[in-house]
Amino acid sequence: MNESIVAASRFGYGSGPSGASGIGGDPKRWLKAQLARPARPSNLDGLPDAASLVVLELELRKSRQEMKQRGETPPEAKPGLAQAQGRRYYLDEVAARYEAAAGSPAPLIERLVAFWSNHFTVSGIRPVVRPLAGAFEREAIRPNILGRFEDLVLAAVRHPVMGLYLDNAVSVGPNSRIGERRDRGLNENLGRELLELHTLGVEGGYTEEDVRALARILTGWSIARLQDPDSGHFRYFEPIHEPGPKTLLGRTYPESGIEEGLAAIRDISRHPATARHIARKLAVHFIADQPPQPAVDRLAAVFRESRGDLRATTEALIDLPECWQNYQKKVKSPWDLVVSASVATGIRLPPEPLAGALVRLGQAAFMAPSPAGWGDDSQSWVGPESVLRRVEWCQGFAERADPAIDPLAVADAALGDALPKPARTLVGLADSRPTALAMVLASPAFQRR
Amino acid sequence: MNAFDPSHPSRRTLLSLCGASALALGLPSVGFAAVPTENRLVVVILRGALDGLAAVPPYGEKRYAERRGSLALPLPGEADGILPLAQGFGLHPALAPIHPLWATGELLIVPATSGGYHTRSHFDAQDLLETGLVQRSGNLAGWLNRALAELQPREGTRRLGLALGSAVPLMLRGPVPVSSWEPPDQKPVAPTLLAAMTRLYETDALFGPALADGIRAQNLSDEVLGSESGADGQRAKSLGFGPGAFRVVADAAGGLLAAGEGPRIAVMEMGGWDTHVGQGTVKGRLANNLDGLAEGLSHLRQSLGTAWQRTVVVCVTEFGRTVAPNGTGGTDHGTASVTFVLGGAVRGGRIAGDWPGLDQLEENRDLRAATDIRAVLKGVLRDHLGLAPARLEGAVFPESGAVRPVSDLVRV
Repeated sequence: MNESIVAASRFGYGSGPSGASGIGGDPKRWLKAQLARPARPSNLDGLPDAASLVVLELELRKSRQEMKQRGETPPEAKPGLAQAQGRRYYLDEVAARYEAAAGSPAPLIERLVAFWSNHFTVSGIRPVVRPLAGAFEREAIRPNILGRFEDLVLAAVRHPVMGLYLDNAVSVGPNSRIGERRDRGLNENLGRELLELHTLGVEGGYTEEDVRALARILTGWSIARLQDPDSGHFRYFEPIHEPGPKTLLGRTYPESGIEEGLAAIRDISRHPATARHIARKLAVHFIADQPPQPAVDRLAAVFRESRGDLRATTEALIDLPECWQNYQKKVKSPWDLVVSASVATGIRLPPEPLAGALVRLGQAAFMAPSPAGWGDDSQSWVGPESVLRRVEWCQGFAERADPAIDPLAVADAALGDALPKPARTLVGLADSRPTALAMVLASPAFQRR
Repeated sequence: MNAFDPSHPSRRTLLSLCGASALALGLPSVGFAAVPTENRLVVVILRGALDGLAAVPPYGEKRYAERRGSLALPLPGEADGILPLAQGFGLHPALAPIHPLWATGELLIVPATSGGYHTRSHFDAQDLLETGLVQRSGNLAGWLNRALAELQPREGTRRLGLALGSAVPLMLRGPVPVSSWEPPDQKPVAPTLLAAMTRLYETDALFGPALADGIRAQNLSDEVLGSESGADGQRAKSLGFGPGAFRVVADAAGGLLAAGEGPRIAVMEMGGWDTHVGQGTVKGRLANNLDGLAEGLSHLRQSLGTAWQRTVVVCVTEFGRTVAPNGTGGTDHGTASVTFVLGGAVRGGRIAGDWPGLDQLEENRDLRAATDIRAVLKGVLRDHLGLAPARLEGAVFPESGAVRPVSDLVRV
């Protein structure tokens, strides 16, 4: 198998019409060079930041409340940005993310952004999050994928959108100054997902007591209000912070305000169970649904020894022989399919058809079903109904192709030898170019990576 | 999941589109100079090579039944028999929806046509059919776009051309901008593609069984396998699956072309004609497709309303199919097929062009070509749209001087 094609598909979104030629003779070097100077895609400039959208949201709610107080009927049936102009922000984000991924000279960066964004899911299933999820990815995830893991965790946890999504913004210490006066209490949501999903993993050996301790530690981590100078941004509020020492995973954190949370996040990020959990997730994503244990162990060791250095861990991933041996073991997620088909053909979908396609294919952008994010194995994506949807999408997408596109040239550039001879012959016999291109894109070889 | 569905809020319904077509196409709604032509032209590309001898069986030929073997259709008067036209030609019974147009003089048949090129490759032949050339050249612009260039100068910025579908077909591509209309919903998988995918997934332990289960669950098996049992075909038709999808596009095309300052020249496409396996006779895969075509044309006529009187529809295909059935109940790539010309502006109710007969076959296997498709198209462009003969030779169909336009195709 041509290593350039493996590299392009395994660590990126595949090869385009010009083949894998940009990669050169040393695919590992090509990949590592991307890590050395990651550039922020310029098409992301100009999108609104999360804080300004949060302010918009808060203002909308405020004016709605005021209208109600005056006995008037608000124009929207439901409160919030999502109901008003939220769809425009959502579509802009989906389109920008797609452009960045499909047009990137550093596709590994885009794949890492998608991986970590899924790891720290904030889902638009909650309407308040929908217009904001893209900003979360751009602000909390993208700048931190090659630094220390603990900084990535911290950026995600402190981001206002995570505060909204996992309710920590409204979590109040029962014995805090405000908690004592009002009937508001602790919300364990973020504390639990931090341990279960983001760091130690469900088998990481923590208890319900640890979940509650972490939730208490993180009380006060909220969002600045309209009247605050930094409104819409992360803000620590002492008056809702649960006072007193807390014991998490056997270690006692004396009362120290926001410092407790900073220390706790650093500690759980460096926990050995976290290294194993992250290593396994990376291996499942980049190698196979059931990754070889030595590969997982190697990644975990690098992660641990480097104190969660994500660039070092990613480099170790690139160097794993297993990454180069298990080609075509992974089924592409709908997102991967749509982006890689766009790269392979040069076709670019307009925002509405793009968003619609992802819905029909079962992976609406920024809309994962739960904080656990999207599944990362073939069972998540291949079933009787979903295979028909995939073929259907390939058919519709292929019809968009310029008539000058030669389906066999697309196949050769994107797949090389991965498309078996008999399949290639069958494609050549198709009744039209769009049918042939649909066959290439729907072929098992293109559906996998 | 929740109620949010990014695919829906801006769904364009056909009704609103047709009602506001000028708006939908981004056309200014007022302030036009004189409209040069109120005449409409629709070209239907039948991709995959239509079996012309099945669509328009020459049942009066002595050797018809012998040559067609198991694919011969029951004669007129028999159950599900051929619908008679004239001179020993008839229509496939599945084309019944357009049969009345013969009696009203709105359907003309050119029974042995080819594009003037010699290739049995779908891709090459479709490219040539659409570029109007007989051999490949670097110039990948469509002949219809070149024809638009002849009409457009009189029209300023108005877009006379209209592509129905996700992409502009090659026939309409070129320097003159055209409008396009895309079906609001994703089309279900075409039977031919489903059949191809079944083969591509055959040896894949994951995708193979999943697709087979999916096909079973949706009762699409008959469409894929070309079974002659009608029940699922009917179901598929009601869902707009495969051949039925053409109807949706035809409705849109008619509505847009009927509009006062809308487009005048449209291209529609329909696939599923590459019937190598089990094409069937009075029922089956080809019959379903012919039915979808005829239903669509009938819808086009209705949605055009009074504009139908000024419309010419030409249905072309890249080449024909072998006269005799192959070993799998189908037909392979051949030479000549049939061209349909229909519409209120057509001088129809007759067979046009020569008929080479079934005695002498091209390479002992194919119907020979008697009429060049470009001759038909040139006749329509000259007499229906008023293009200058010299421009037809030089610009629209380069180096086609020897291909004389067919005269008297339209009422003038």
